[in-house]
Amino acid sequence: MKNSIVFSAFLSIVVAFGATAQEVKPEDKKPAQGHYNENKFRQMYDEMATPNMFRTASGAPGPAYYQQKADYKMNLELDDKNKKLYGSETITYYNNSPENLEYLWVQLEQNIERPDSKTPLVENETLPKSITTDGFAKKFIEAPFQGGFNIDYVKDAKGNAMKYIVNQTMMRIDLAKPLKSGDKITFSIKWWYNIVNYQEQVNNGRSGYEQFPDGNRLYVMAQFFPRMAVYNDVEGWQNMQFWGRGEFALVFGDYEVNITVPADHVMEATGVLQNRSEVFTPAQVKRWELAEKTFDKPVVIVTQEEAIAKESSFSDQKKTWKFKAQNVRDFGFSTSRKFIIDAMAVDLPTNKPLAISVYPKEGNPLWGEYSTRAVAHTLKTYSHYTFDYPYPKAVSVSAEDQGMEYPMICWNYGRPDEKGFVSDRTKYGMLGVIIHEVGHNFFPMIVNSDERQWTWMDEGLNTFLEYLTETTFDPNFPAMRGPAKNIVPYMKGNQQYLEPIMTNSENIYNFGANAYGKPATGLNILRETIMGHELFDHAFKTYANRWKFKHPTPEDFFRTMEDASAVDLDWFWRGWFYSTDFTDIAVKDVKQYYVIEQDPKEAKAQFNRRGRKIGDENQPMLKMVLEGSTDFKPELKNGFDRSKVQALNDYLTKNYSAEEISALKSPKFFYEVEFAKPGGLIMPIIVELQFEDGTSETHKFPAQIWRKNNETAKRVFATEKKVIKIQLDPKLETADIDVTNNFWPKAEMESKFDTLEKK
Amino acid sequence: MKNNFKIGLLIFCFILCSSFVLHKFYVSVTQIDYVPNKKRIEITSRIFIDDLEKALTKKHQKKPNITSTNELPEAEEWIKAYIKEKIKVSINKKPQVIEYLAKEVEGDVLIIYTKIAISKKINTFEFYNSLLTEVYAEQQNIVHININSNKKSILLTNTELQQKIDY
Repeated sequence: MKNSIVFSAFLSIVVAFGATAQEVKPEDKKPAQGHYNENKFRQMYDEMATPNMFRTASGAPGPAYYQQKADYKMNLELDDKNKKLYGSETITYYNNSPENLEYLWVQLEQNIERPDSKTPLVENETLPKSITTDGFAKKFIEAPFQGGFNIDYVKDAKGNAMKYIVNQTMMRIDLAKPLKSGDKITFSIKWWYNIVNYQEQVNNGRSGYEQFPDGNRLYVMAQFFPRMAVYNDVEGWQNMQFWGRGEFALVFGDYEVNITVPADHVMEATGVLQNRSEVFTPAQVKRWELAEKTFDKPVVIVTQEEAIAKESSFSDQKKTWKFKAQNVRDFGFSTSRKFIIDAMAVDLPTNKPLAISVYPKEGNPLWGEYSTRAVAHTLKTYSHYTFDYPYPKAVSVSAEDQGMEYPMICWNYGRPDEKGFVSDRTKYGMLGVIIHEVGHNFFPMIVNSDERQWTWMDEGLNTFLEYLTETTFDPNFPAMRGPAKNIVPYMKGNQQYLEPIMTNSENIYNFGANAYGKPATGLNILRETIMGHELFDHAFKTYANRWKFKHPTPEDFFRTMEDASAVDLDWFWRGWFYSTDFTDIAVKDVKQYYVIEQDPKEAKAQFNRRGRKIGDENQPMLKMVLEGSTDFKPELKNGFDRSKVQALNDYLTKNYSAEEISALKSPKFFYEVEFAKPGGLIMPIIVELQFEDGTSETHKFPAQIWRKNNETAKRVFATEKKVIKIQLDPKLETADIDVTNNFWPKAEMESKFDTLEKK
Repeated sequence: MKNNFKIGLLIFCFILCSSFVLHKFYVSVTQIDYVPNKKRIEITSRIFIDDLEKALTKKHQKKPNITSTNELPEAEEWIKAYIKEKIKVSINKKPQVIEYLAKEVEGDVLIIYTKIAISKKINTFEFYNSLLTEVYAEQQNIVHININSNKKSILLTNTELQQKIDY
């Protein structure tokens, strides 16, 4: 109590003195203007949506939360010779919203390949000074690719044509009467389109076919059917156009899909195959059943020999593969004559899904050894941090230049070179993309965020778990995105080309760093440095479980992370996600003080001068002096010795037993350290003190140390050993963009070139 | 080949992403810093490994497999020679010797460290960079130059292989 009174008295003196000083400055005659609350720790009431009955302030789905549902029954036929896909689908759409809907929005992403697509028109162009002949031909001579959906009809359940209008990649279907809240509607669409060679067309690299020199094609088919847009409480209809980068917003539902392909094709798809005995040989069915019971290594189901034997058959016969999938937001499939398949079962506490890989012989030696194992490891690791993988399988398909995810299936690049050589770069590139795309089953396939609006919500969270998965798959994994220091080159870049993470996908310069690397790094910093593993992991898991099979928003994530941990993170979200601020914390000044006993007369005079009426004017005082002051004596340099200061000794013997005294600390050296913060971002201050004897200790001051003064902060260190060096953030945990100012004494940092020159 | 026309837009977007990272842009980035108190110019060049691999294979009719376990013993010499051929600097109108220091892998990118020993005042700085332009007509070489506390970024292409800066 006494201390606090003395302290506040001291504070008021400082404040009063400050005011006086201001008045006498002639240039400061005009009083400073007021300002709004600009404190970096203020709560984010202005930025975040107001909580409501749909989404609560705790970050959970509210009592009025709803989501729509769309079930699909589809019959598809692939015309391999002419590279066309034909389909007819029946959609049953459930309006669970409290509103009546006058029309429905259906997504037509294939229209990005139409000759009149607006996607290429919104890019700036410059005329290159020199250009390859094929590039020139494509740009100026050849006819454009005739892509995009051809809609044969849209019919209601009775077979009557429905009115519709297509606006780029969106189709509005007008309803004769509104679809009432709680009702459902069934309608059918028949369509076909020319399948794109995804390696040749620039608009959309996410699906199409890969052409092999042997005449075969490998199809990776996605966004291939008209799909329901999302209607919800935050966007109404999410009908923002598909420009190519912002991916998808999709509704959960059940699928029954029959896919007719040449009889010699082998296929994998979203969902469970219903007619395995019709499309597999008896031997393959047996191997499949063995794989379902094999947990330690992949079982080859369609062998390389079987695949090679079919490569030149080009069958005219057809076969239909039948799949069913429940509670998925999308459907994808991959088919080719060239496919080898292997699989193994994965042992999760509540589910035993299959990890499956499909690849052409060109994928070996590499895919057979690593792909399925990487899928299995990914399912285990992600399940540990979120929830047990709920689907029956996860498939990794080998497709060059690809890396794209769909429920239960994904396309991944990375194959040996022509001579069969696999460099580490190829191997880790392939493993990284498999882990990443399989991981997308969790975000956004199950925790179903809106990718069209917020790329980071699935890419950032997924890249974060990808990092944890890679480093546990192989401790030497060259994981690029995760460690704080790796985001520094991006965050210290030219501000003109930086956007906050909270920016729509289409409006970002450096997409990879902004939507993948920076959010993943932010989560890593929260986990390692700000919250700790236990609090972070629980909160992250809470978010995943609250929103699995639902549609979360950024606020739902931000709020849940706080709600489940009691760590106030508004300052972190504001800085890291809503701004382009960067971290830069520096050691500004270090003063070493020496302790002496103050002359009682001086102490008393000071006491009276301050006019204090409380306290004991006769209490002895200790005085802190700097080297060079009149009270300084050279022997003080040896450090403070408690036992030699009579006043302190008297105090201790009066208040403690001899035994207690021997257990007290004996600080010898006193340092007052001033920190500066040239960067706008708030971060904890991590201070490493290095002592004469080679030992060191680390002190961490929470981010809140900056709450009243955003520019400088001071701390005192009383140590038993002499400090010879102070270093901030020694483990590079905070993405500090300038580490040259992190040292005391100011050491000339050895640059990369100094090191190299010495060699 | 695919993105011939978008490159201008994407000078600063080093990497194309869909749901992954895959580079399809023919770009290199070179950082040049003059450090007078160390009497040197530090040059750090970042080149996509697969692009450089292609260039060296074309030049020597043999794959060097750089940065892999299969790297040819002569690969580093090839890189040194390639850099010497492709990057040239004149200061105050005099051609300079560029000393190769080391190479380092960072993901898909090879970082090459070179330097020029110099202690006199720089009045003119002429930089020639034809990295990979013989492989890709669309190659763009971005150069950030920091000399005499004066920062400047230039873009060199097949048709404009060098630039001169006066201080």
